[in-house]
Parts: sequence; structure tokens; C-alpha cells
Amino acid sequence: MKLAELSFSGLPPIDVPFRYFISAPLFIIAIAIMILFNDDPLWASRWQAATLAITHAFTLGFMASIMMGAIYQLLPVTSGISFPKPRLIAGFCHLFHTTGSVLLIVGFLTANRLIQITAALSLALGFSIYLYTLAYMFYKNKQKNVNNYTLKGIKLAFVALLITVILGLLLQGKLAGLIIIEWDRDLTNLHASWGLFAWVSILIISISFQVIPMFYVAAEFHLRLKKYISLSLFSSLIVMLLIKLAILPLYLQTVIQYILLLIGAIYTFYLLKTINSRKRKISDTSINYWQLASISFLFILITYAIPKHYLANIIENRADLLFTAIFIFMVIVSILQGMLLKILPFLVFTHLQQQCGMNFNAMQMLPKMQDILCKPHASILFTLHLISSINLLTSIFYPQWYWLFACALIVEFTWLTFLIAKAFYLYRLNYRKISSQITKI
Amino acid sequence: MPSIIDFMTRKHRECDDVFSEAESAVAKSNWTLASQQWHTFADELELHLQAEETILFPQFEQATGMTNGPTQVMRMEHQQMRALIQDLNTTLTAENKKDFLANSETLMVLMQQHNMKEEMMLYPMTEQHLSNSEDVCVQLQQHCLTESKV
Repeated sequence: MKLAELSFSGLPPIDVPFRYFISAPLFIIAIAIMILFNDDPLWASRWQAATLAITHAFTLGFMASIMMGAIYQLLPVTSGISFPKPRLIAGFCHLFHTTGSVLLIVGFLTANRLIQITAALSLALGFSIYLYTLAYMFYKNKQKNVNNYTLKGIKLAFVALLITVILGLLLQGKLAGLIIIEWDRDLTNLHASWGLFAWVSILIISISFQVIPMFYVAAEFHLRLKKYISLSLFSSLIVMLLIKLAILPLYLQTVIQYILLLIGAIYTFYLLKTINSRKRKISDTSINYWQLASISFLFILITYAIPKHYLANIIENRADLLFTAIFIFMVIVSILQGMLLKILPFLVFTHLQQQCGMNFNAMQMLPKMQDILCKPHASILFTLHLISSINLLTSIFYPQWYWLFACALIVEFTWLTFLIAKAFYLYRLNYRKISSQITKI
Repeated sequence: MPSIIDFMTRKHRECDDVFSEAESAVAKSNWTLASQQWHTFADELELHLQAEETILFPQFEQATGMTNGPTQVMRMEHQQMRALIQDLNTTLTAENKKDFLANSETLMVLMQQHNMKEEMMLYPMTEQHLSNSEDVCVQLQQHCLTESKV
């Protein structure tokens, strides 16, 4: 590490991550309103336009936005690597990402070719700028943090994102009639697997290695787990890609599916063990989110491992849809909301604290963590998430109750938007107070 | 012989452990235990901060010539922690659970982001630039383990 690299002020401006955080829940509110006024039966098939629109509102609109926004802030904190010109990069990436995501969803629903092509171009541009900047930063800092497994995982996750985006663009090209692909169902499965099991899962797992011991005073994760789990996930998906390209034999596919389940089981076991043995035992809603995600994932594992003919007809017929819905909403969205409960006050406090400098009068004005996001507000969000989860499961088995799920989503994500906006408002308010205190001297 | 990074990181974890025990005791309204654990934590932390301010940071500044850089930021954050500890002492004496837990959450975040900067950047840089890092580590250990300067 060079002396010039020793910078403690590499945080991007706070509006960089917040623009992603604020726009993310709006996608879910919009899609929930669409569900509410949609006449087609919900979840009729995974190829149905409405199902594709809902799935992408969650994965691209919500999940990718939160994770891409958080990375601007997490990389300097966890690895000392900062984005160059973060406001400019984030401005373009966020604009193209949100525009592309909105157009993609509208394109699914309207089947308009022009909208589908514009969506693909916008998303391609947004992801290209983001991934190119990351690749440049990683290359420039390649000597830094060589034993930092969080950083190694983040790098793998972004290679997985690149593969997910390429597969997605091929599918969108096919949908818009620009290219002909005969094995589009396999391609869709690959796109979904790379997105959910590689990009999202590897990123969350890698970040958990750093944030769980830090926020909950828990033991470090096992070194072997940190070293190999992301690599195993990534390698398994490479094998799956080679199977689809007919380079490896088809029978390996079942083996890979069980390996993925085993990797998931091992991580969930260590996650629950680490959380349960944490030293910081005071009540914390974000812990409830991690527990809900772990239990939901264990349910998927157990149900998946049971041969399908032993399952009740009602589950067997909808197994794929059920597993995907639980994984996206009750595992990934739960973890992201839990992380947001920690990240939001951390961000606001850290930025204000840096602003204070050595001014002790200004330091007196720093808000407490509880002022930024109080515990009862966090508990309300968790309760609303549980209600939405129950309604999601109900809507899968009894689609006529879809409107309850839509209403639950609107309430939950409006509340989340309020919490994010309130944290940002408190930042602005305290920023002005601290600035006026500093200029007095 | 542990390195500066190993020793100081271990001290961070020890402080976190006692801090969590004090916080848990307050959450259970066990004020006697809370007071014991809290004072152990506050004493341990103060020794650690002093060791950095009187031994480690001057060595770093001398070796690198950076007197207004990272060590100044760290000193500023030490002062912020001390101010919060004062507030927490008051809430503990008043047995005010709600205010204690609100302040302790803030101190926790302040400590964790501070520790991360030290463990990932300042300690490795210090060790890299000091030719006498083993001697400095011995001095730090003596300060934290044997001397009671609080």
C-alpha cells in the first residue's frame, strides 16, 4: 500500500447511494399498482408478460438498484477503494438503469418492439459504464487488500453481473425479434441462475463476511468458508453454462443443482451459527430479517430435496414458482431490507461526522442513530414484510387473492420509501445546522 | 510475538466484547452488572486510545512525516468517542435505559467504522513504515496490559 492511498475520506457524496435507494422501492409500488388493476390472472405461467414484469421490477428495479447503490459506499469502507468522479458516474448509471428498467417492464407488458429495443440499449449503456468503472478501479487497486475475501467476492459477483447482463440482452434481442435463439428457455434459466445464485448471492455472502461480525459483534466466519464459498458458487454456474453449451454432459446438471443446494445449506448453517452466537444480544430488527431469510432458504432446501411425488399436488404443480418467489422476496428482499436498516443510519451518521471535523461544538449536533431510524419504525417495516410474504404465498396458491398481495406491497414499500426519505431529510437538516456552526468560527 | 496489527485488532475485539456485555446488561435492567462491565469497557478503551495517541501515532508521524493526515482524523474520532462515553456515563448513573441504548448504538457505529479504518489502513501502513515495529508493539502491550493510567 502506498502512502498516497491512505485516505480516510474516500466516501462518495451521500446523494450517490441515496438516489438508488429512493428509486428502488418506487419500482415495487408501481408494479403493485399494476397488479392491482391487471385483469389477467396472476402467476398463470413464468412466461406470462405480467410475471416477467413483476420479476424484473423486483430483481432489476429493486434488488440491483439497492446493491449497485450500496457498492458506491461499501467499497471505500470495506476495501479503501473509491469510485472516480462518483457523482458523474452515478448520475449516468442511475439514469440509464432506471430508464432501462422502466422501459423493460413496459416493454414486457405492451410487447412494443421499439420500447423493448430502447430498454435494452439503455440498460446496456448503464451497466457498461458501471462495470467498466469497477473493472478500472479493481485493476488500479489490484495490489490492495489481497487477502480481503469480501473484496474478492465482490469482484466475482461483478463478473457474474456481466454474464447475467449479456444473457439478458440476448433474451431481450430475441424478444424484440432482432436475433434468433432456439434454446431461449435454457437461456432464460441460465440468465436467472447467474443473476440470483451468482451476482446477488455472491455479493450478499461476501458483504455478510464483513458486516455481520462488525454490526453484531459476532465471531468471524470460518476462513475456509470465506475462501471457497463464492468461488464454489461461481464455478458451479460456469459448469452449468458449459452444460448448456453442450461442452459438458447433461447428466452433470442434476449434480450441479445439488451442489448449489449444498453450498446454500453450508452458508445458511454458518450464518445462523454466527448470528446466534453474537455477543451483541440487544433486540435488533435487522437480525429478524437475517433469521427470516435463513428459515425461508432452509424451507426451499428441504422442499427441493424431497422427491416431487411425495409433495402435495398443490405444491408440486407450483414448485418452481413457489421456490423462485420465496427466494426473491423472503430471502433476498429480506436481507436487503435488513441491510438497509443498518446502512441508512450508518451512512447519515458517518457523512455528518466527517463534516464536523475537529469542531467540538458541531459534534454536539450529530444526531443519534435512533433519531435517524428508530427501532419502532424498523419493527413496523418487518411486520409489513411478514404480511406481504404471507400474502405472496397465498396469491401463489389462491391467485384470486392477488389484490391483497398488491395492497400489502404498496403499504410495505411506501413505508420503506418514507424511512429512506426521512433519513435523507435528517441528513440535509443536520448538514445545514453543522455547516452554520462551522462557519461561525 | 504478535504484530502491531494482530495485537491492536485483538484489543478492538476485546473492547467490543465487554461493550456488548454492558449493553446486554442494560437491556435486561441489570444495573449492577451493567455498571461493572461498562467501567471495565471504558477503562480498556481509554488505555487503548492513550496507547495510540502517545505511542503509535507519534511513531507513525515521525516515520512518514504526515502530522496532519490520518492520525489527526483518528485523534478527532477518539475525542468523539470520549464525548459519547461521558454521555453514556450520565445515562448509566441515571439508570435511563432508553437513552443509554440510543447512545450506545451511536458509539458502536462510531467505534466500528473507526476500527475498520485503523485495521485496514493505518496499522498496516504503520507496520510497513516502522523499522522498529516489534519494539513499538512491546511498548503498546506494556501500556495496555500492565500500566493503569486511567
